[in-house]
Amino acid sequence: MSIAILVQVQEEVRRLAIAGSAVAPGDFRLKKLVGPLEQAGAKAPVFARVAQAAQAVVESNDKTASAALLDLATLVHAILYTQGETGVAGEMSAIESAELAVQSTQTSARVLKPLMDALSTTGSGRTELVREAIDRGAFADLRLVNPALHALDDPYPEMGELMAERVLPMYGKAVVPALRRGLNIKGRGGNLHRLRLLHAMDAEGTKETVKRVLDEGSKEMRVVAIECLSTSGSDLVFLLEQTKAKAQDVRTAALKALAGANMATPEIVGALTKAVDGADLTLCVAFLHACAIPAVKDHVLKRANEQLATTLSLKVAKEHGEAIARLTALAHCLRERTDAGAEAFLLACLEATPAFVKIKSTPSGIDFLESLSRLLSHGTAKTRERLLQARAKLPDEMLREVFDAAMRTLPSTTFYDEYRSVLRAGMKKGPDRVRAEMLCDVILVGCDRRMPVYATATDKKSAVAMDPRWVDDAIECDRIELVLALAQRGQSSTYAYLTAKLAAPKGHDEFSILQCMTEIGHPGATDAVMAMLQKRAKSATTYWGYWYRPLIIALPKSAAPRLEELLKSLPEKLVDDLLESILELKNKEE
Amino acid sequence: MGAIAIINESWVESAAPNADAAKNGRALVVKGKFAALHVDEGETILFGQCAGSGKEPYAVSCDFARADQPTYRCSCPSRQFPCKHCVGLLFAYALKKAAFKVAAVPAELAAKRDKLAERTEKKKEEAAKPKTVNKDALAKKIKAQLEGLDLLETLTLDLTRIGIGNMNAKSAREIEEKAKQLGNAYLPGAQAALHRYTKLFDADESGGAGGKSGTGEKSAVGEAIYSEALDHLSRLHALVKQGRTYLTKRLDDAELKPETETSIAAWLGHAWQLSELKTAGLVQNDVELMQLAFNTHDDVARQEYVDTGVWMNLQSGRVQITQTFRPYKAVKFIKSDDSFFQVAQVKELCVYPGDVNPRVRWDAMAPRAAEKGDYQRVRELARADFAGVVKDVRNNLKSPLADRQPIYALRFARIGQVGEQFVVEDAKGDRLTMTDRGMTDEPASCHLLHLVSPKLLENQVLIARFRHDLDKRVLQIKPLAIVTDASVVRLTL
Repeated sequence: MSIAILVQVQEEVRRLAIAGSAVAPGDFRLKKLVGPLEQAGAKAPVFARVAQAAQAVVESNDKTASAALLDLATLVHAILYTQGETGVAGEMSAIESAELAVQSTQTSARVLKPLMDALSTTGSGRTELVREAIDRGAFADLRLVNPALHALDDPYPEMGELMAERVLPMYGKAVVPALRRGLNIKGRGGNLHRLRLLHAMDAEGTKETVKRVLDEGSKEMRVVAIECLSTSGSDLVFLLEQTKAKAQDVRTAALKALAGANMATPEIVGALTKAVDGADLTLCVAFLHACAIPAVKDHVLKRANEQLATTLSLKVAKEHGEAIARLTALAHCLRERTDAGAEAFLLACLEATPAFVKIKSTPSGIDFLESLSRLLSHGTAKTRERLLQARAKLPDEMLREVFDAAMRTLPSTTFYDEYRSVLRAGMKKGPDRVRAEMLCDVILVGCDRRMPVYATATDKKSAVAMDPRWVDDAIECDRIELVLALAQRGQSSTYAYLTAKLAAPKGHDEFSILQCMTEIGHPGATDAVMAMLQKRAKSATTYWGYWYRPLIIALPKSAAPRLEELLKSLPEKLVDDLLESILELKNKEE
Repeated sequence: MGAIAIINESWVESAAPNADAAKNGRALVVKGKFAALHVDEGETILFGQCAGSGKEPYAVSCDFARADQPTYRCSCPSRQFPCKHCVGLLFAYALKKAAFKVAAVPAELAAKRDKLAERTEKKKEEAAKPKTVNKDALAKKIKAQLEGLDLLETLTLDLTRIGIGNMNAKSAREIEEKAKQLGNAYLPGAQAALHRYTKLFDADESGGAGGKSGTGEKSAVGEAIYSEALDHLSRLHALVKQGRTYLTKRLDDAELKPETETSIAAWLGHAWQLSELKTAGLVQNDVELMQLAFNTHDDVARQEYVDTGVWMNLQSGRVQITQTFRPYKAVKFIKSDDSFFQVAQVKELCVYPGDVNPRVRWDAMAPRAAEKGDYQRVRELARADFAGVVKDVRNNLKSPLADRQPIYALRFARIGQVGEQFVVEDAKGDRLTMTDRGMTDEPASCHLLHLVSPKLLENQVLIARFRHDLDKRVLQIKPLAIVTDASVVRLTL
């Protein structure tokens, strides 16, 4: 059957249907096809039927045109449906298989469908659903590969990060072709993840792409491409070129990559020293301290010493601001360095404290000293020691770091003996109170008694051991925040203080006091928490189980039955919030 | 061991109407809301009490007297079925069997069980009896339907006169407003068919299907839907004609039986009752089915979510479908269907009138683990001659009211590529090309062929959905699953 004529009829019918059947009566283009159709109809009767139907459309009027047109469309479609081409000619090759390590497709639709929707739509609550699915291993199903790739471009950046960091690496090299297909070198967002993943999964195969990105890519893509370059061979040429780029972010990335080089070539040293000597010094502050190239390290130190001398010798007040800014940047480039040269530079700066105090520019000499105190405090043992020795002569802005250095380096008893007077002096108004506040802040950070919901295991480890006598001073000075931070088990004075404070809490103190009571095993902790829950049940319409969890799980296991009993009298919503925490308490090991 | 032996956590999860009910039911157990947990001596019923928001606890029971069709009873007012209390009771048993004490079934519950047994018996008897129909009422209904078809015809012809290119979201809404009368005329199916046309223009707020802007340019989106829109209009036209013939014939027929040879009754919106299907003899006994694919899609035209299971009838070899419709308004109360990885043993399988992939339904089903022989059976039943299948598909598509995207099981020699095109080839060298285009009920699947093991691409069975592309004039397939001798590798859901 020659379908060419039928295809022509279909096109005309489609045209008329788009325009509306009102224009169908007498349509000359359709009319022209009636003759050939009738001729074909002599051989195949079906064409004669089409000819009749087409004729009916042509001869129709306003009232009959729609029905005639639909009759013709139905007939033509019915015939064309039997003529659809199948197959394809040509040599058939095997599908290039990137066989996925994950071959399971046994995830049920009830799990899969919401995940696919979460990855392809927008709206709240999706990240939590996806994160939970990742934890459960639900992404080990090849049907989620495409949605995961698609989600790299999710408008919510966290979703893209989840895919890039936790999901797609699981599929391995199999996703490389898809990542490559989806990469837009002029793009941003998901394309940054794509390039990083491509480099991580197929560094060799991604070399050309990286070079193309450096030549033609967007600013953001070039920054990522620089991360993918090594610091040798042809890559080095690209890196050196990028240190001259217009975009600051690109220059920063290139300089950072060079600073991380293992091998020092004259070109690398040249590029970095040029940056140190010029305006790009500020770009290098974040990473130059970690540069291991001796020539660069020496150069930074040399420039720092020169800048110190220049700054102190300046006579024109207007020039001080810029000089101080540059000196601060150079000093920061020396942080964490323990070599004698760097140490000597910092100590020389400390010696010059009185001179810096006099510089009133923006930034001022005091601003520099504040930074310097941090560098000394986190420097070598000698810099810390000299900082503590100089305490009496230092401006207040440097004292925070002095207290911090003292807390971290001195034995806890010595720290208490030498610094308790600062706390006690703070009971009076004036500068002494400011210093006392500063000391309190330092101790609080040292104890790292943050809200347990935020605290991590690392935080706990970094806590500094404190002399227990501090608590009594804190109670005497009525510094509740310090008491809460320093409280220990078995201190009867602390128990009494907390009980008294809980009776008349201020602001958000109630929760903090309860938290402290549960943590130090206060004998009244369980009763206090239960009373708080009963109180909240009466007053609040929204409950925050999130906040109650640390309180409940810190209680003794024996509190669980009492809490379960209490649940019966609490509102349903609050019970839902508390349930998991009580289960956790029941299951905890003591 | 009693019928309740099948209860475990995953069974309860699947018995719950949705994920929330499962979560809430489980929470009731953890909260210790259940009291007086009991099981009868024969292990056929669980019963207990569950504290609720009211003063009195709810009386909850899960009755396995009909093991393949448990009866859930609860005195709570929930319209969800089974409610969270019943789900909770099942979880309680799955998690803490020891907490259930053996006890005699309370008199009230025993009476209900007896009543259920009576009802079941009576149902069987009723089913055996010829059903009496209120012919006057039915005739009145058919006349209303005929009037509804007149309206549908008017609307269809009006739409054709207006022209597809002149349609826009506003005119689509106006037509939908008028189409509400079709629902009143007992023609919900016809109404949905009309909505399928109007919904094509829903997304286009810029004016015209062609997205006519101020410059008169036509959007690519508009172009893409023209052919589909015309096909919809042809279908509506055919529906009016065939529907009218069918209804007129039915009106003249003294017995007034619904048509069972074609799907016209369903097209008009007839909701088949299982008893009707049984009376019409559309029942197969002792059938086993294996699910080959599954999809859940949002049918905007019907305002429902549709869960569709694609099954191979291991007796007849036909690819049949199950469908659960969950209207938006009642989505919380209707259990969503899920993919099924076992073999369903069905005593009485009701088969709806239809063409290639008829809808099937059952009252009760018993699952059993799929065995190697089952996969072998699928292989035997799959069609190995692509030319024959293509002929069948084309013949079927000729009918304007035929299923436009039928599903077949195809035994293939290999799957490969010709250029960028995925191709499946049978033992005789006949080929079909694969695409995702135009088949949006399921997620895209062609790309997965790059990711599966090469072993799956030779001498296996492909479950494929066919579609004729009117614009390109090609008949192509979308891969839904590959069945090996040991598993069904699902490529969609």
